[in-house]
Amino acid sequence: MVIWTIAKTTYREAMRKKILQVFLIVALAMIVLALSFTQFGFQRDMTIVKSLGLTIILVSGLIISLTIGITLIPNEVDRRTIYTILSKPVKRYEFVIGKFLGGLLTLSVNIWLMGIVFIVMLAIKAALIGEVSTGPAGFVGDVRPETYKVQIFDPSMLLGILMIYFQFFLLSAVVMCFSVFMTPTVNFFASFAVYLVGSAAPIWASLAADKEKTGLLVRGFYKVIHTIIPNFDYFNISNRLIHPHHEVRSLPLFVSESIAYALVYVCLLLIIASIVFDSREV
Amino acid sequence: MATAIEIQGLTKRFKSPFGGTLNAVDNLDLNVQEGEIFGFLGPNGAGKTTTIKILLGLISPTSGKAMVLGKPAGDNNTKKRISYLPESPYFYEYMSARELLNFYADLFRIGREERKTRVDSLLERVGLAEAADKPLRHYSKGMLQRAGVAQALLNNPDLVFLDEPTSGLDPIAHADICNLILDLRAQGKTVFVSSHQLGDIEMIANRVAILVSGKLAMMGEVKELLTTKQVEIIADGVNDEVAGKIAEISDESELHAGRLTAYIQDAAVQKNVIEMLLKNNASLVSVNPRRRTLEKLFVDTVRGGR
Ligand SMILES: Nc1ncnc2c1ncn2[C@@H]1O[C@H](COP(=O)(O)OP(=O)(O)O)[C@@H](O)[C@H]1O
Ligand SMILES: [Mg+2]
Repeated sequence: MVIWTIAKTTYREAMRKKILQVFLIVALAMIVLALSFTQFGFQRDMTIVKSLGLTIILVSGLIISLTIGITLIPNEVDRRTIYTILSKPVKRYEFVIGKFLGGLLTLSVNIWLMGIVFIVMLAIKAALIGEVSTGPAGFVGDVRPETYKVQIFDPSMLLGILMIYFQFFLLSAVVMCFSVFMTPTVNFFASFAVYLVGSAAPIWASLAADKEKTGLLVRGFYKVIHTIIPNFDYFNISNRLIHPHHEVRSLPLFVSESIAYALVYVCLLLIIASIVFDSREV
Repeated sequence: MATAIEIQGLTKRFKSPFGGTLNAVDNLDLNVQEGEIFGFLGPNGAGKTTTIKILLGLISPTSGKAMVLGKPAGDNNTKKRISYLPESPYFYEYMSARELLNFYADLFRIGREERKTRVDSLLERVGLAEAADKPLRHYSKGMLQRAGVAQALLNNPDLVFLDEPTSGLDPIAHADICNLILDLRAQGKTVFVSSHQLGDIEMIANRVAILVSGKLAMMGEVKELLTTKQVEIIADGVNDEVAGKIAEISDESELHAGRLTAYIQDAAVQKNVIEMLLKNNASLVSVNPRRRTLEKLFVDTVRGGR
């Protein structure tokens, strides 16, 4: 299939870039280094290590999806490789979707490679320690057991990476959609802005709902932002777990809803990108 | 014979960066028959590449009609039967020529078995068999051009668009690519080739069009455009006085450092001039039927000459 041919080639070409390889190695090294963190005793160290690891993967994912995405189509036009492709029996939408999937494949491999290394290193660290004591009793009547087994595999880490993955799946489609009519530099900042604004979705929602302090027009504006900009906060799983004022719902339902949200949004963005690109001069 | 390319009243207007507009192609009419090698000439910026891009459906015309193999330009089914070599092609740099051709073969939906045979034979044919597995990043311009020609022949096309295929190549690559185009001519393919290398076009094309500022300035059979009924007489050791007399009766003549070149159609005048030259102790260098070069025709046409 033509879409798959283009995706495969895009992926192969991207993965062979030195800059991406170097970046990946640095990110992996940081994850491994983060794991050697010891400061406050095992329990708190593990919490810090886990959030550090996820943050490294999050930031890497953000950088990779932006830097790969912004050049996917403009590079083909600048270097005129697009001419030999579109003069063959390839439809414009096949090209757009093929390029998107190629970029996505690159992003996926990078995120999951980091994710797997992270989870495996966590497991090794946990296994090496085996069991830990809970430390001195905190107060009179503390009846916790003296020692307990360290959890080797933490499923919430897998979930965290999955949610990181899906937010950059969504961001990649935003970048792709922008790239059919923006230069790479403009696209970089525009997509980054969308990501920031979209991550702050709860703020817009509460501003839009605040009838006392703001007028109708301003609230309408917040409402529009909240509606149009993809809600990246849907993927912010740690927020939900920490802040109790979010509705308490079942986790599987929350996760599947977020993934469905990403899929619908990505399809929409790709349709828009294909339509715009179809009438574009190359 | 059927029409391969039909262009009528074709205009492409661009917004120029300094404000205002520019007609890159301006009300162009042109037909190319099947089996022709059509040379599309014009100075830089004449609109050649723009015309080719319209014919491939890469950009759309502002107005006018562009038909390729009987269908409107850009038709997806027609694209199976045509191919394109862009000007100074550039490809994915981490790929090897073999990977590149496999990729393009997949875009043409050529099956696995068939793909291998075609790719191998094409690599051989364009002279890249040895370098086939090196990344294109390490290729010279000539090698890239060879890879470009190979990708344009993958689908065994009926109609091939070549945009400046021989520009900037070393003599060997240059000769090889000319030969490949001559092969296409022998196979009865239609080739639409834009070029600056007028010598090449003179050798390979049946018909040429010259484009100046987006407008058609001249079109015709190469043979007819380049042959004349005049005779060219060249002699050395001619003084100014004799040259002056000869200039009066010749159709065209010039004198450079004692060497006279005169063009004369009338047989009596030819005889007269030769006698005058011999009587004045000039030494005849040559007497030949005059053949114009495409180069001269081109320069005259572009300069607004005849
Ligand atoms: N996308 C474009 N936007 C604006 N002007 C263009 C564009 N493409 C080509 N031109 C202009 O159109 C004219 C014809 O260009 P082109 O077809 O590339 O000429 P040629 O191939 O004969 O050298 C040039 O003046 C060029 O600057
Ligand atoms: Mg050109």
